[in-house]
Amino acid sequence: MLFNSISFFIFLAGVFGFYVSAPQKLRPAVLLLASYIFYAVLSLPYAGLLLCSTLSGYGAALLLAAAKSPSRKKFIVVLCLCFNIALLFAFKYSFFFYEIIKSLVGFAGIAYEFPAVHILLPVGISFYTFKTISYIIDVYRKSVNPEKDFIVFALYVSFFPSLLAGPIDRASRLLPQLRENRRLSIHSMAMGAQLIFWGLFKKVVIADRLAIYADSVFNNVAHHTGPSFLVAAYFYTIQIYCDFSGYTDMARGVAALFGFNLMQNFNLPYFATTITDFWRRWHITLSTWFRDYLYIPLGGNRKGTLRTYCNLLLTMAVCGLWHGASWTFILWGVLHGLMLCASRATLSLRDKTYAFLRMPNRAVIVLRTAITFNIVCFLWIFFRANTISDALTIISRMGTGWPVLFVDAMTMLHGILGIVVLCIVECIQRVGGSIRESVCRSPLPVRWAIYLAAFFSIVLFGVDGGSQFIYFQF
Amino acid sequence: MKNFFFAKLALFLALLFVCDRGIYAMLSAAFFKTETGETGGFINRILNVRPDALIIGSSRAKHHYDPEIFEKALHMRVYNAGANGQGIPYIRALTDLVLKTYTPKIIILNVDASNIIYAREENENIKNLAPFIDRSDALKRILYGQDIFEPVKYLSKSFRYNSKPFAILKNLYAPEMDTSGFSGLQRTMDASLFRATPDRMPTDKLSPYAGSVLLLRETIRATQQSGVKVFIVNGPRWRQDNRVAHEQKPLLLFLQRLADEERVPYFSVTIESHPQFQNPALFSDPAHLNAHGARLFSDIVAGFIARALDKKPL
Repeated sequence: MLFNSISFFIFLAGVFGFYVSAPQKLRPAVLLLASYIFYAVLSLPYAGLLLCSTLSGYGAALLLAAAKSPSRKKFIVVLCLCFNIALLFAFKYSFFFYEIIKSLVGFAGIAYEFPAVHILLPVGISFYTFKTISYIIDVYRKSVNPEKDFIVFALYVSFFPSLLAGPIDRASRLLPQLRENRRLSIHSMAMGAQLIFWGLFKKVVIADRLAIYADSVFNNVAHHTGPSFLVAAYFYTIQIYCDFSGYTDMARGVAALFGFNLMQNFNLPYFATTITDFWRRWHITLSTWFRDYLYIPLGGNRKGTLRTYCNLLLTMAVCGLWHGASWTFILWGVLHGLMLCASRATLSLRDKTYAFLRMPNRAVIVLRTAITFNIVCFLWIFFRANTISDALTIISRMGTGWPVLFVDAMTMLHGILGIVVLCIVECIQRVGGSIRESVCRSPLPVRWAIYLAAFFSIVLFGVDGGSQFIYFQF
Repeated sequence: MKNFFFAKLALFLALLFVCDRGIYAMLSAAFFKTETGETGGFINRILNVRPDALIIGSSRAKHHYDPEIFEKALHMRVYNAGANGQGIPYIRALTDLVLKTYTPKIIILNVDASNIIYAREENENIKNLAPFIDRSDALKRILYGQDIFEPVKYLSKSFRYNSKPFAILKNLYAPEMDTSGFSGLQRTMDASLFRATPDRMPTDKLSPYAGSVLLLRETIRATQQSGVKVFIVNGPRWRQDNRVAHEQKPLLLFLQRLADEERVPYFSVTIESHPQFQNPALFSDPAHLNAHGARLFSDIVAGFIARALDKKPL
């Protein structure tokens, strides 16, 4: 059930109807049932995996609370972590490592017929296992109390707006909301509806449109040259942002309809002035997860420069691997790690250079933003390319074939207009404006005109039958 | 308070309805004035011109059949209604639209092996004909059948013009030159690029798709019942080894059997049956002939049809 499908909106209307008519005490149970139905529609057997992860977190937290000795507490935490990581490994990475072993055996000249293996990746497993892991670690660190109400905890793990592709909300933030009797408010519902529409606009009008061009280039690397690769790379940069942030907006909007406030996952990432800044603005819930549960436990930046660089590289490599069992994702992560290290290493040199050149502050910000944006855009090539070989082909042929460009006029016109709208909205947000608040404060005819314009722009310019959200595959 | 909310909601929905119908009316008025463009304008031209012979198929029809050559051989007005990315759903829908407007003398269906296996792209691209949904029951059935909730989308009349407004404006104020639908490709293939990766169909979907086969049979029967002479033609694909791909052969045999069952003349032009097409200089890419190759192909097919018509006059 994709968020950009009619069946989802029918499902949402039904769930909302049951939710508002249910007694307050039963509302978490209504949402929990709805979340499992939502997941079971995708795959009934894999709903069992979701339940297993939930039970492991719930049980481990209660055992932790009851355990007296530190060694026993550690054992419980390690057991729960290993269980969830094993789940993730078995269903997401086992085939990848199986293929590596096959390659190594073949390379060693050993003749062995490996059995065929087919494992279907359960949608959302990367997200809900990370929620469970963060919960148990937070309980261990005593930054959150163990949740005794199973319904509330199970809802935290499986809450359907964020089940498939985040945000990866922290227990300390979401559990109290799920526990308390939330009052529904017209203002919250209106803001939620606006977020849903904006997210849907970004997904079907911008992302899916740009995907038509980007896919035709990235999936046919042999037939394209420099100009097309460059345009496709920039289009993909906007596509993945609109796709993922569009989904997140819809998830937050749906949650707001029920009175819940999910974590913000994007904060104008393409206005970042450094790679470090980019990772504070992009997929915030994931980057903070890796910061708090991997980078800092490894020592963070407290053990000297060399160790800091190693920690950054390792964290980003794991981040790349989290995105998918493929060498392209791992390489993308490692390259981001290298960029983070380079950014740290050259920070003072760059500051001195700008000071020496007496560049005005605004010019420095614009230059830094442009450089960071182009670095991120370049690295997305590795993320999107079907193989490393394709990525290297694209990069090596970036200077060839000028000025002949593969033109799909209507797609490009639609895409560019969508990008213009996106830029206007984000520039307003960049200078501190809030379009949603402005809309809410506007007179009724103006509000309705905006809603009608949004509705018909989706009907007339959205890609019908577009692809699933990119981050669903992770 | 609640009553006020529901009153506002009802008023908003009424406004939505009025705007939807208003936008639909404006776009319809503009669309049905266009006569070129892949988003369906060229269908308006066909329905206005009413050619005696119509060629229907995918991009391989669009780039392979030169109407001028057919007109000289058949002595009648010919139009090429080939469209990129289309397949049998398109063939069925366009045939139904045409037969509801007038009765041509001949319809040539370009059907490839790839058309009779399931192709998601073809089922998506049929939506280009959405403006005609109210004029063709077959088209309505095909569009509504794509998803259980598809009819809900079409409650919005404006939705028929999804992704079309700019194309409509472009075709209205800067129409393409009319070449009777034919578009000859000017590029010549670089065979060295394709030696390692010869044109292959997806190997995981080799059986004929029941839905496509049913639509094809419906098309043939509907045209025959209207007294139209139908031909099925299959065009060549280039391969480095000069053979038809092994996964295509059973599908071409299936097509031959289907044509025999429906008593429709079937003409298959492959690089095995017509070795002149083993020359890569006749192709723009392994799946498409260039303009030079299209002239040769059109000569061959027009000759076949002319001979068939001589034996059984219209």
